[in-house]
Amino acid sequence: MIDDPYAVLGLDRTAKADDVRRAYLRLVRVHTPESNPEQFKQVRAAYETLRSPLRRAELAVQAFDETVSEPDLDLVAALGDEELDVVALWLAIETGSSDVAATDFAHDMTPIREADLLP
Amino acid sequence: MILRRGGRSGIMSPVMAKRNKHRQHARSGVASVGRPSGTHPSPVVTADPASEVRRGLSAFERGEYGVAIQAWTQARRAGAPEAVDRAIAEAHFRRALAAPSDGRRAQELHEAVALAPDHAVYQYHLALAYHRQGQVRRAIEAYEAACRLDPANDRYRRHLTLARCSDPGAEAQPEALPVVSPPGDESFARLAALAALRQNRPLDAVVTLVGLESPSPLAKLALGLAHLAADQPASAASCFTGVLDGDDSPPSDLRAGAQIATVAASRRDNDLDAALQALRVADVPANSALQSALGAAARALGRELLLEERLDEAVVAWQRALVVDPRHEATRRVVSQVEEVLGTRDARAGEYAEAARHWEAALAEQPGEARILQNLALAAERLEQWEQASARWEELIAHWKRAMRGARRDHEAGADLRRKLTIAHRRLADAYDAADDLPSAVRAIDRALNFDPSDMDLRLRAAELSLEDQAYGPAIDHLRRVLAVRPDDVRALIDLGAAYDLKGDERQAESTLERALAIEPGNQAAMGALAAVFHSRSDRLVDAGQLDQAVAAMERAIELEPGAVRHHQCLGASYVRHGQLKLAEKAFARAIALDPDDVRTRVEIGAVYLASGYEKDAQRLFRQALKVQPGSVTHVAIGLAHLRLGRSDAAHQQFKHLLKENDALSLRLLGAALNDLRREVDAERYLKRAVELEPSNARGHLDLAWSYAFGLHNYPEAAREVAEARRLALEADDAAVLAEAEVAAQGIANLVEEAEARRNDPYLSLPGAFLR
Repeated sequence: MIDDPYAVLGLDRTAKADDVRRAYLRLVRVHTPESNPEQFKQVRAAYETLRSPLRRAELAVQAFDETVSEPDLDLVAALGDEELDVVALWLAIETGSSDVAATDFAHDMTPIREADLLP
Repeated sequence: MILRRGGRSGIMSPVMAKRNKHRQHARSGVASVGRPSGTHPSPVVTADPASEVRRGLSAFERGEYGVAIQAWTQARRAGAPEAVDRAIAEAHFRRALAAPSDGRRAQELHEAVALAPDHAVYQYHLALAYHRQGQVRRAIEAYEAACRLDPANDRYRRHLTLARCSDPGAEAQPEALPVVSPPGDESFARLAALAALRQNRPLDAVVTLVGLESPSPLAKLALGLAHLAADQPASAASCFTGVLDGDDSPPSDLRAGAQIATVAASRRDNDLDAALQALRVADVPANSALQSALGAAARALGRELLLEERLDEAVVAWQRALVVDPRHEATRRVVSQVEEVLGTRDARAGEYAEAARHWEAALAEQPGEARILQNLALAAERLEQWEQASARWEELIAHWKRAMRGARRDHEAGADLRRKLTIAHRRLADAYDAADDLPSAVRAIDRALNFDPSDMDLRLRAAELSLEDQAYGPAIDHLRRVLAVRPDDVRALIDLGAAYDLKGDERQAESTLERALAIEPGNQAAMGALAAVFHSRSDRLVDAGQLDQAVAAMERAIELEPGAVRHHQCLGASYVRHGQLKLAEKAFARAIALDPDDVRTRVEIGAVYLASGYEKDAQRLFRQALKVQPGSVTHVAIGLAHLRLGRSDAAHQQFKHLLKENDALSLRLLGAALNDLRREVDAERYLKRAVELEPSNARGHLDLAWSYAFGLHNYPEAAREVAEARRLALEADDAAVLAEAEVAAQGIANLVEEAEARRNDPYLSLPGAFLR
């Protein structure tokens, strides 16, 4: 069984026919039948597989798409270097235990007497 | 008390100033009723001020502050003393305390302040209303006004400091945070520390708090936060532990704050395990500021875990962040991407269930993403979850169709999508086929052919699926089209022969299969299919009484497929039916010789003898079978053979061996077989014994319920057995049996209802009522 033909040619799964041909030509210059017969065979087999549009489509549909196999550090960076805002936390709790969050203010009411209004 | 209007210490909005102008008009003797003064001349109010004052007072005591305000305003217009303004202000204040919203509250308090501008408590409450609304600058002004009116009031000063600390510009104005701390007052110490922290002096904050005697949980938390800000995470964590593990149970916000701060402190102390554990147990606070803090702490921890390659745990942390802030886009995107990474990694390790779980999570954020849909379809295939697989392929196909519409100008991309769509449809058909949904499988493959009508392999698959679906016409049509292109395709010829045979067109079947054999002599499948044609022909000829031709046809079948027991057996049976016992015996001997250890052949041959009244020969074969394989299985086979011929007593003679052996499994299988044969009454005794022997087997209870319901019409017993099966299935977490039990329970309920209706309706119980 041969390895993943895309991996052998150093391509990702979105590679088009031209990309396949270019990668093949580049690699067969490096791995010639004389210098590196095993790798030449692998490159050749991978090219034979991927040069067929149908086989390429079959591979695309029938194998797991492993394009996303590493965390995207740009997305992680988009989270920012956020740190816990200590002051905001403290203020929230301090405020939560103050009159700002209280509801009972009966002690702040002033009684009204008739004598004060009609001397 | 002398009331001054518009005093310098009062906070008055332009609207209030306008209203005051109207009031001054009123005091000058010109009263208005229902519309602003100045637009129309208003009648002079002639009300008695004293009685209006009393009416207002009475309403005030009943808590009807609106009525009180109206009466006192009338009284003032009619000349009541200025002291009444003070009462109106208090009524507004009371209304403010009961106001349904902060905005409404502030409005009432403005009225109160306008009428009693030197009353500090109204200014203070106006400040609180602004503070609650987050209008810090306005709150500070009002607090300052309250402090000017009552400089000795600690409460006002504390809240003024708190508001100043909340002011976004506080760092730039250190002088704006003066805190004069009465010695030993913890709340002022906390605020002084908070002010120091606000001015980026965390060590001063620590020093201010560290000396407190018997600090409250809030002070402990504050000290921890000061340590955290001073980059002393270990000391901070120990303070937070003091809050969480202290003797007093802290209020919920305080507890949540300590939990959140523990996450941050442990992370900063590089103890990611402790941080994650703290995050896992952290309560979700109701306070929005604390929710934001929890989100921030969780996101920061997630980032750290990811950088340590602890992807699973990073996702856990971010998921916690999303609980409090589900719309945080950056977190949602990163979670989805990392879930996809985890899915890919699990799939590479062969952990398809886990992979599917991660991809499902990723898909939630990237709905319709083809890459994920495809991976989910493939994972479902690996897990043999065919319904999910077909659903995912359908989604993917819909996606690619949309993409194809968009790729009209890109020829290469369009062609690639067409190929992908063809393959995806083929896989969809396979998934439907595996899920036993043949009509959908046929439809899927037909749709695939729309994309590539020239793909003959696809057409062959379409034909085979149609054959399986017993749609012989479409199958023949597909196969003819394949053969038009590939006339020597043996597989297509064999399928076509089988299709003709199944359709009843014997001659076409024979000639097609002969053609296949001419192309590939000795092809086993072709010979088998042709043998089947001759076998069917032989059966038909036997029924027509044409024994010689039947024998000839069966012998041709045997010639083509000599290793098939059924041809020899059927040949023997034909001879038996025509009384040619010697020839029959020879044919049967050949059948037995093909697999001498298979008792089924002997039992079936015995049954053939029995059906034709050759009792002795039958018994001989049954004895042979028992000799080859003694035991319950053979007794059951023989018993069922008797039962099919209506020989109930002889059958039970065989079955009683099972009762002696007390083998629960055999008894249950026998009972189920009898139920299938609609012999539920016979099944009951065996199933009852099976259940006695193995009471924990849920399926046994279900089978017994069946025989109670349909054999004995004993619905209460049946319902009891179903309930027991349901209980056992729940206990064993057996979803399949549970589903069957639910269906059975519903079925029994329907039977009971039907029986009830029959009992109550005399017409239904009359003979022939079914004709109705």
